[in-house]
Amino acid sequence: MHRREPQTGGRSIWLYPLRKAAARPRARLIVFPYAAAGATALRPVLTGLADEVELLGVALPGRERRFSDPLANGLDEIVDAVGTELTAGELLPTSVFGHCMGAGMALVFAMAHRDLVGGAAVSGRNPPGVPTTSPHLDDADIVDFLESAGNTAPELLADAFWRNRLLELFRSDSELGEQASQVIETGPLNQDLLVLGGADDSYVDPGGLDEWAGRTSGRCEVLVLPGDHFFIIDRPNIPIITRALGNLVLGAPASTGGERGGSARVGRL
Amino acid sequence: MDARDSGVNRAQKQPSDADRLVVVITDAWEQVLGHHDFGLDDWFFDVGGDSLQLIRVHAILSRELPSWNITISDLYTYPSINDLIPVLSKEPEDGSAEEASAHAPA
Repeated sequence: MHRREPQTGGRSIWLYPLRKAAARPRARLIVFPYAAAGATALRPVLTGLADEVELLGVALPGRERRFSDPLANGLDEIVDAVGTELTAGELLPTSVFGHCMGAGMALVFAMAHRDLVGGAAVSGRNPPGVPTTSPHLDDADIVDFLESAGNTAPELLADAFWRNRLLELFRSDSELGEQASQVIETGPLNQDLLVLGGADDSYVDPGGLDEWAGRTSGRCEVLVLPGDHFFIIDRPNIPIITRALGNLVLGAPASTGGERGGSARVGRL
Repeated sequence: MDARDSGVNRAQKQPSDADRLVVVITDAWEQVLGHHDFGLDDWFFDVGGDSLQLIRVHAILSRELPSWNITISDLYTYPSINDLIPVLSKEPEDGSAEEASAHAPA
């Protein structure tokens, strides 16, 4: 929409605040949405972060505040546009975060902006070389996925307008995810990584997540938590994930294990 | 807040429109959130709202304030009632809604 100047997010189109801004942010976390969603959906693990962390969501066209905008079809466009907006403002120590498709996008952004991005949190995503979802899903498969694993309200999937909208978004996002996978294959990362996985995620093998450590010259912490593909917003996991994100973003030493939550496995390399 | 609504000319229309918008939007939030523990400066997502609930708010506002063409984008872009009201007070627009086809499930 173009008819009015947003009061939150200033003139930016691709980045917007996920919470009211603190007076003096010390670090920044850029949050990429997962497929068929907006970054707002990840707020549960974000709002517990210290006030000194500035939280910016990436506003992809076709959802949330850009509901009426035509969908993006190129990852390059997104990475360039977000980078341009980011560098136009105050520079802060910056990390990126994404779940599933968003994780791929976050890493591509990190690779394109190595000087800007010091940390990356990668959730619900296989290491490079292992595809996360089948590229050829029909409508029923996608609805099944959104219903069973996609954290999508059944009320929306039952409504023709929203179901079609979500299918369209999911297909577009999956294409972006494929593009991201190809880019990630092309080279190593230099950021500190926080890798988050669900112990019962049927799309991502938690046992394979340690391989992420070989993909970066930075540190790598792997946290496997109880739950399926959307372990990321399961209430008992939230404080653990928030703390780990805080450590990554604020540059604190990696957590030392023995987290509350019992079954969390912390593997540091 | 002046809730009188007798004005017919443009000069009187603006303030009463804003008053009515506050009432209708506040009611919509209450109805959807199931509580009224929020202020006009609170962000919808900070007082318990999620994206499905935002869509429900949008459905109510589309029904109650049809000529204002409030869009889903608006509700995300202006996350508090006080953020939203001033930009809507320049409305209503006539003509095509950006999201005429957008609707929420009943």
